[in-house]
Formats: sequence, structure tokens, C-alpha cells
Amino acid sequence: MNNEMKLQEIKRQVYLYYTEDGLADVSLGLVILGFGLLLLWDLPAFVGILGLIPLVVWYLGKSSLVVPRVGSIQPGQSIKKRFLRFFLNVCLTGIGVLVLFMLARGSGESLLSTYSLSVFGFVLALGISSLGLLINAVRFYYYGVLVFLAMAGGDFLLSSISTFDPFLAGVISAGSIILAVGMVYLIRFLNKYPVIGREA
Amino acid sequence: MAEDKENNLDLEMEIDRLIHEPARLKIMAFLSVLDSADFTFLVSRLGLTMGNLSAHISKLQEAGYVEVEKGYKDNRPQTTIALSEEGRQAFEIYRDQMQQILQ
Repeated sequence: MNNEMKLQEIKRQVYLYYTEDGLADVSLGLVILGFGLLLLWDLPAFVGILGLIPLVVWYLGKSSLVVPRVGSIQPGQSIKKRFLRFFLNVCLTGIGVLVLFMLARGSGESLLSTYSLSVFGFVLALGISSLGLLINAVRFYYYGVLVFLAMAGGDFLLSSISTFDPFLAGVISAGSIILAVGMVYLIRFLNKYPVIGREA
Repeated sequence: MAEDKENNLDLEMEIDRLIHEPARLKIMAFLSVLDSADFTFLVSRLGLTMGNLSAHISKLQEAGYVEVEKGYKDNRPQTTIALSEEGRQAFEIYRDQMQQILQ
């Protein structure tokens, strides 16, 4: 039992490698903020580009900021399997969102079409929370709740507020908050880990 | 009961002293959950100096427990360390022995 607990602690340290730098938070925040801004500026056609943001931020951030400070790893089989399960979850979530969206559009007046943003937000929240489960980062559960509330606000507040779009306000706010938290983690990481000199 | 105690003491005599050293145990433990890690990662996680880590890695390499690959990544020298098959087996045996002793 003692040995297993210590190996669990070591696995926790390994997962910290993927969360300590805040790059996952920055990527998520940029995607959500970007989504809100593109809708605000009436550029929905560019939403597809948002998928590139995490790739670019993650790759550039890891290679230029993280690796010189804490090195790099190749995860073992158990961790790889966990990541694979996550990507399958993401694909299923994406397919679920698409199906729900199409159902909502084609269903006329129904609960699904009336509360489509809430449903959309719930599915996104599940995806974000599963990312938190994958990388052992509790704060991603809170991000999921934040995103859900931002989306659901669009359904419940849209009719009562006429001066601004609560959905867009909620999405942009949620994205900004997540981005800000990510930047805090990144700055803390950069202060904690100086660039390590030449290897012995 | 006395026989169990004697068996546990016998096990203690067989413990792999190379792995049992605290710093090397941590190195082996980290590498057991990874396919490989570079030198910088082990320095940052283990809190050892580069020289200290290098000495421990050399001992493990001499015993055939780890494989060391030196190369370059993004124009920076990179040393990648991975457990060998022999090292994984030795670590598993060590873990089993410690579990028996601690029971």
C-alpha cells in the first residue's frame, strides 16, 4: 500500500508537468474568448480556426518556455491510455454537440431549441471537466461550471436584457477569466523554474 | 510468526541496494511511469544537482538498469533516460520485496 501511494504521488508529479505551466488554461481561455469575440464581430465563419489555437499555444509554449525549464517526458503506457480515452471523449463530445445542434435547429419549437445554449454549454462543460479529470486539475471543473453558466445565461437572460447580449457577455467573460487564471499560473511557473543550464 | 519474521529478514538481505538508495529509488520510480524523461526533467523534479544526478544515472547505467541517449533538440543538448527492460524487472522485484517486508 505504501509503495502504491508513493507511485500515485509520482504520477501526480507527472500530471503536474501538463498543468503547472498554465498553458492548458491559456489555450482554453483563448478558444472561448475567441469564440465570443468572433460572434461579437459577426465572423462565425472563422470559428473553425479556433481549433488551431490550442495546438499553436501548446507547441510554442512547451518548446520555448517549458522544456528549457523542466525538460520533457514521454509518458508511459498507463498515462498514454488515459490520454487516448480523453481524446475519444473529446471526439464523442464534439459529435454529441453537433448532433444536438442539428436536432435543435430542426426541431422547431421544443425544449431543445428553447434551451439549446444550455444544452450546448452542458456538453462543453462535460468536455472541459473531463480534461480536468485527465490531467488531475481540479480548477478545470470550475471552468466547466463557468462555461455552462455563461452559455445558460444566454437562454435564461436573453429575453429579459435588451441592452446587451448576455450570451456573448457570458462567453467573453468566461474566456477572459480562464485566460487570466492561465496567465497567473504561467507567470508563477516562469518565476518558480529558471532556465536550467547545460546538462552535465 | 517467527518463521515469517525470518523470511522477511532474508528478503531484506536480498534487497537491491542499487535501487534502495533514496535518490536512485526516486529516479527509478519516475522512470517506471514514463517511457523516457530528459535530464532536465529529472533535475527539476528530484531536487538533485546536475552532478549528483549524473553520478546516480551513471551507476544505474553501469548496472544495465537505464539506457541513456544523448542528442540535440532545438539546438540544445538533450540527454534522454529510460528504464531498460532489465531495469523495469528489477524495479518490479524491488517493489514486491518492499511490499512483503512492509506487510
